[in-house]
Amino acid sequence: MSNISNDIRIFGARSSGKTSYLATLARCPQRLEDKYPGLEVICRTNETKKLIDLVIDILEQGMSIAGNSYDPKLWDTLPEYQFIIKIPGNKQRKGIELDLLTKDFPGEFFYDIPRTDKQDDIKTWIDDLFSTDGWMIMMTDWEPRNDISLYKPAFEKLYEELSGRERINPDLKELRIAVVMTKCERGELWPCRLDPDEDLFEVRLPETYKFLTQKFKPDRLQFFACSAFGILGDDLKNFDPRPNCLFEEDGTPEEDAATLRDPRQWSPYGLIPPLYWLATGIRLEE
Amino acid sequence: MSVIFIGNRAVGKTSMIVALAKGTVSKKNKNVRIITPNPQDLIEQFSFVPSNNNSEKEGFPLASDDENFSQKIPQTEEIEIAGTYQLQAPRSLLLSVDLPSGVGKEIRVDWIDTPGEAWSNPDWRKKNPEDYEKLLETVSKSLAVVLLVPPYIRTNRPIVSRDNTKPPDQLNMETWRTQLKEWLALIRKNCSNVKHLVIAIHKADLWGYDLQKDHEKWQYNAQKRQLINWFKYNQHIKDTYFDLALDIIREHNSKPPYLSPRFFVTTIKNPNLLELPWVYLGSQLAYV
Repeated sequence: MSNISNDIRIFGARSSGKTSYLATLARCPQRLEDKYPGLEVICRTNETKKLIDLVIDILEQGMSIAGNSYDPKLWDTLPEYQFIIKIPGNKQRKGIELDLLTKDFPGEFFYDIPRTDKQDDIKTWIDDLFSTDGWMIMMTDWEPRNDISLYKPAFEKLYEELSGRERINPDLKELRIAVVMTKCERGELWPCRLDPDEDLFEVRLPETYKFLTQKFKPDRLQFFACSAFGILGDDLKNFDPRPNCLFEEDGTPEEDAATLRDPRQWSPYGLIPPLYWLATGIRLEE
Repeated sequence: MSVIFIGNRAVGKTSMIVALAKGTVSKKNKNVRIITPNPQDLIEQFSFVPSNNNSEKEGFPLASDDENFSQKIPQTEEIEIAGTYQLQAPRSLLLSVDLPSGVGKEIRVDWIDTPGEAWSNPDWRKKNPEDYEKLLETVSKSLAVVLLVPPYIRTNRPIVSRDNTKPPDQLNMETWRTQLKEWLALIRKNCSNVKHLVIAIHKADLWGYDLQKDHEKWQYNAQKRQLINWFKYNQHIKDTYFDLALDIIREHNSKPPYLSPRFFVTTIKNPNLLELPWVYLGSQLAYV
């Protein structure tokens, strides 16, 4: 089992499930472990262990996770999460022990990336992005107009920054970007998870997809599908395609109000492959 | 992490905290306790024994334009709570909340009490425009807002309280709906950064509604691993007590800043129901 240290940043649109992703990883529900026999997720700091309590007190009790507060001046106060993730090898993959360091950026930051009037405010945040080994960028397709109004402009700005900085710091050519479509438990997305490039991103976020595939080669950027909640039964014996989450049907936008439906049936999908690829450049299929 | 209490005069904003302090002292609270300041001091600071004369307590002068203040407002407790006439500086409360992940989790909140007059009396706002602005600014900077609303009369028959007076803050359904709509509009306008909104029908025992069923069904006691599903609880409270305003709630939830309320019914007579909003807020604020 090889040891790999990876320092990544997780960012993306508001309500794209960044904290849910990290909290689910920390909690490591039994069915996630079943998918990777011998998987171990160790939370190294108290701050990281709090993610487990957050799941126990909030998601498993039928509450939803509120968005993180955002103040560009308070970059220093962002929690830092540290995990050791042991992914045992098998015939298809080599085992790794991943020493993962990550920060979870509030969604509002993503909206500021392309805004010229915010560049001074977010300079520390942007500089930090370029001090890391990789990015996990999360998005949903709840708002189709985000393709043009949010995602593409943000990626254009990030690409511009990356190109400029690469000339000064060639190490940045090693930086990998995992672009993740989250909340794929929804009925219309679930079947598309197996080929996220064509069936999710190209279809649902065509302009963003076109831009990214033109600018980045697959060794730098790959697309993934993920669902922190999963569906109620994802094995053939007990197949139940209903999303394992509940929404208030009271006018609240669905992405803002999801909670776990049944913690006993909790089977997250696609949590490990983007981390594994960011660390090794090798893509796992789940 | 500030939690601000808003609501009309005499709706029970201060009494909710005092009841929490009393439950701590009497040990009737099972899940939420005030550690600091000393709960007994809190009780004494905010309570006074009513007399037949106009009551005035040091630190809480009567508002000169409030002629009705001397009218006795029926209370469900023996000691009455002094009115709040000015925006209060945040008071730091250290709470101990029993959560599923562990009992006795310490959560520090800045509790901000607000004057009921500011919300219920348009004249107050006209006379104190700067204070009102400051109040709205404080609301907008809070992490959580707790809106207390009075009970309403579900039937045409007025609910009569113990001493045969009609509680002045008990509203008919239409007025109650209108007020809730106005509150939610005010919250949408001023709370774009607020992360949690709790709305409780407080003094629910004045309603004449049987809360016993709720009390029995929704027992929360983390130490005994008696937990409740908050999604279901919220649905139940919304469908049972806020059902006359579902259209208003739907409209509010679908508009920015998408601050969907969590609903509660509370009475100082029932520590279990009274603790639930605190357990909810405690769960959320523990992870800020």
